[in-house]
Amino acid sequence: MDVRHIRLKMSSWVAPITMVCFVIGALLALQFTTQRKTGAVSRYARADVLTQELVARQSLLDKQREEISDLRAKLDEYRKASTQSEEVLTLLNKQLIHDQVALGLVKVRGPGVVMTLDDSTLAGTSGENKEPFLVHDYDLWPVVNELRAAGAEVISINGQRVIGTTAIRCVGPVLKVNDVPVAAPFEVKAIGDAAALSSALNLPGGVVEQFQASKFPVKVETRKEITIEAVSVTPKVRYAEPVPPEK
Amino acid sequence: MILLPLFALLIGFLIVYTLGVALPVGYADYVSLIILASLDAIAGGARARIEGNFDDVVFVTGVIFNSLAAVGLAYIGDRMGMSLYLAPVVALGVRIFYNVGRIRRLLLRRATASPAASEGSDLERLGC
Repeated sequence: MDVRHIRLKMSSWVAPITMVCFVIGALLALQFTTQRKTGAVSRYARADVLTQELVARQSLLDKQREEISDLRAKLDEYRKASTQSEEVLTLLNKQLIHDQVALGLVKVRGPGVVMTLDDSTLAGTSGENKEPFLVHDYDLWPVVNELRAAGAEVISINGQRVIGTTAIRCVGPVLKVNDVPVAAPFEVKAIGDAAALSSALNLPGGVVEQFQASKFPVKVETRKEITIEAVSVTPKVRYAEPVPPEK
Repeated sequence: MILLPLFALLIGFLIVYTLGVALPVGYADYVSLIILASLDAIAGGARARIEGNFDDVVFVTGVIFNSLAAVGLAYIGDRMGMSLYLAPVVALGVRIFYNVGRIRRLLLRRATASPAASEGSDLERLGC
C-alpha cells in the first residue's frame, strides 16, 4: 500500500517534468540553431547590407564606365568625320573641345596648384572622439568653392574630377567623390591661374589657415603643369531638356 | 527516476537539432522566454517535490500560463516600443535563483540532519 502510494507520487511528478524537459530541450535546440544561423549575420547585418549595396553599385559603375568609353570612342569618330568632310565645322569642333574640357570629359593639363591635406595630427592623441580631427566632406567643400571663386577651370580630388554634378560627401567612414570612395591624405588639384588660386587658398582666415589652426597637415604648391583625369562617370541627363529659344 | 527528465531533455534537443529547424530572429526573444519560464517551473517543481507538495496540475498549468504571460508581455512591449520582456526575465530569473537556493538548503539540511528530522515542521523555517 505504502509502496504503491510512493510510486504513484513518483510518477505524478516524473511525467510532467519529463514532458517540460523535453520541451526545453527542443526549444534550446531551436534557439541554438536559430542563433547559429542568424546570430553571426545579424550582428553585422548593417555592414553586410551596405557591402552588398556597395558591390552592386560598383558593378553598375563599372558598366557605366564602359559605356562612357564606348561613347567617347564614337564621339571621336564623328569628330574626325566632321573635320574631314567640312571646313566649316572647325569652329564647332573648337567649341566642342572647349565644352569637353569644361564638362570634364577629357584628360587635361595646365598650370595650377596642388593642395595636400591629411587628417589632423591631433587625431592620434584625442582619445575616443576622433571625429573633429578627420577630414570630412564639409572640410573639402570650402576648398573647392574657393578654388572655383578664384577661377579654377578644372579641379580634382584624389584623381576624381570635380564637375558640376559632383557630390562630395561622407558615407560612413569613407568620403566619396563622384560616388568613388577616396581617403586621406587628400590631394586637391586645380588648373587655372596658379598665383590667384594659391593666394585664394592662403587668404588670411581662409581655408588653409583654418586647417592649420586645427593641426591638419596642409600644403599648397603651385606647379607649371598639372594633369587631371577625365571624369569617371558622365552624369546622365534624364529630366532636364533644353527650352527652344523664343523668337 | 531523476535521469528520465535529463534524458528527455537530451532527446528533445537532439531531435530538433538534427531536424535543423530555425525560427526567424524576431522570435528568438520569445523562445528564450518560454525556455526561462519552463526552467523556472522545473526549479519550482523540484523544490515542491523535495518539500513533498508537488502537484502535477499546478505544475503543468504553471508552465503554460507563465510562458503565455511572459511571451504576451514581451509581445505587448514590442508593439509599444518598450523593453517589457525584461520584466519576465528578471522576475523568472529571481525566482529560479530563489528556488535553487531553497533546494540547496533543503538538501543540505536533509543530508546533515537525522532522517527523522528531514520531514516536518522545520522545513517551514527554511528560507533562501
